Amino acid sequence: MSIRGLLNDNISIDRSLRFSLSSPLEWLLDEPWLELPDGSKIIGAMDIMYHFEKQMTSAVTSNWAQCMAYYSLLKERLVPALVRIIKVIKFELYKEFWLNPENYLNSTSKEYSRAVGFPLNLVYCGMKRKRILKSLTFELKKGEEEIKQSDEVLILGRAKEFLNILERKLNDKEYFFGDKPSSLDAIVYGHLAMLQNAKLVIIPLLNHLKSCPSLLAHCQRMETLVNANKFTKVDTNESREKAAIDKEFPNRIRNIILTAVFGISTLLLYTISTGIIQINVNQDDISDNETEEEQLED
Amino acid sequence: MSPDGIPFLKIGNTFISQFINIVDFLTIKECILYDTASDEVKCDVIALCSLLLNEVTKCELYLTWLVDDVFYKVTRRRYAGHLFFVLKHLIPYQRRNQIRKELGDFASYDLKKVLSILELNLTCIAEILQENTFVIGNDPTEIDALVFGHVYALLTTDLPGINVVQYIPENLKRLCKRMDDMCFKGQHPV
Repeated sequence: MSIRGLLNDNISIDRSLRFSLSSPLEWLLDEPWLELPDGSKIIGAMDIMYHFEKQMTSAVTSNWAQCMAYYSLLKERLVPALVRIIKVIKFELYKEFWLNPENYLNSTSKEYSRAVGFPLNLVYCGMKRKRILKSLTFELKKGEEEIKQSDEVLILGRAKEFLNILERKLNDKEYFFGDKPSSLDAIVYGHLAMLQNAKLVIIPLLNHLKSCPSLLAHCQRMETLVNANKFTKVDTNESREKAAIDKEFPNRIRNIILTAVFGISTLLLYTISTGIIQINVNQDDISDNETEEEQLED
Repeated sequence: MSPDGIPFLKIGNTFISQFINIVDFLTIKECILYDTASDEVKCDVIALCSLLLNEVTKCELYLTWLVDDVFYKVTRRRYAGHLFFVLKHLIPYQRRNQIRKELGDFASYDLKKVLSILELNLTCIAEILQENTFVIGNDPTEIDALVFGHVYALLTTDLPGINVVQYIPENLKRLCKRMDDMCFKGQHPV
């Protein structure tokens, strides 16, 4: 998401680069990564953006310096609050997908067994469900008492303070550094969008965000920009045909291999049982071995 | 001396530790010099302070505690020089483990990467300073104090095997010299 913000800075992005932002869940729980054509990986939003920034300008610009400073502030003040929210969302998601029997039977177990593959899927889902059940019951037992109220208030207070700082920095401007979106806009939007879309829990932080008009307007502006620049997958005829075959006959290669193995083994059994192929065991060798053993025993 | 770490300030019976708390206290007492500055400038100062307090401090902790050469030759002696015989050998290792835990993923980086991160962060501040007298505006702010504190320590501490001075931009060194002349009248030449 943050990279899309950079698109407006007229950087030519190699379309062959692979991004990890394939599913929203992956983006929510892990750090994004970027795979370069030479096979090396860059992990973390800031490192990816610095990679593109270096392509554009060889030296560090003052905008980038400010961006680094605000990112550090964001990590210090907003991220702890977001981590708390992610934990709650994760808890709710686990409860919904693994413990609700209807959801588990109809969607979760099917999806997971398809992803894991044939022999492992017989045991994997059950084991994972047991593990999650155990961890969730442990957390439920621990209760809310463990979470210190003072910590909660402190983290929330700091996050709110950070939102106020952003509001003051934006100060009726369209973007943080003038008329064009920059890396800082992308970073801020990337984090605030998550906060806006976390509808599973009632969050006081979200209410505070709603009371910051400039930030909300900025988020909407960025959203339209991101939607306009969305990467579209190149849908060639070949890939379409492949997808159609995959949909019609799932696990095609596995089935072919299994059929081949089954066919060969039945043929072999048939030929051996009817005597077309005969296995001769050399009796002399066996008798030689037996005499040697007897001699040794003597 | 202070249970919550350095820096700390003692005025009469009032005792304040940590940099942000001291700045907050001075703001309440209206001792901050840049009161007339715009909101945006104040936000920038807070962000830059955060960069120094979080990122640069992490690098410094790594260099002083997790690089073996520096730890054995400098840090251990300075940290536990005043302790008794047995404690002298126990306490530094305990603190080292504690810092490794605090740094988390950062502790697993190699020295080259940490030095590049330190250089990048210092270059960011140098880019904002450029050739001005102070980092932001015409008056010294808390960010100048913080830059002076960190850069002065980096310049004057001799770390065996690591030449940190080459990673510090020239204009930051000049700022350090200026601040030293202004506040300490050149008592401790850089």
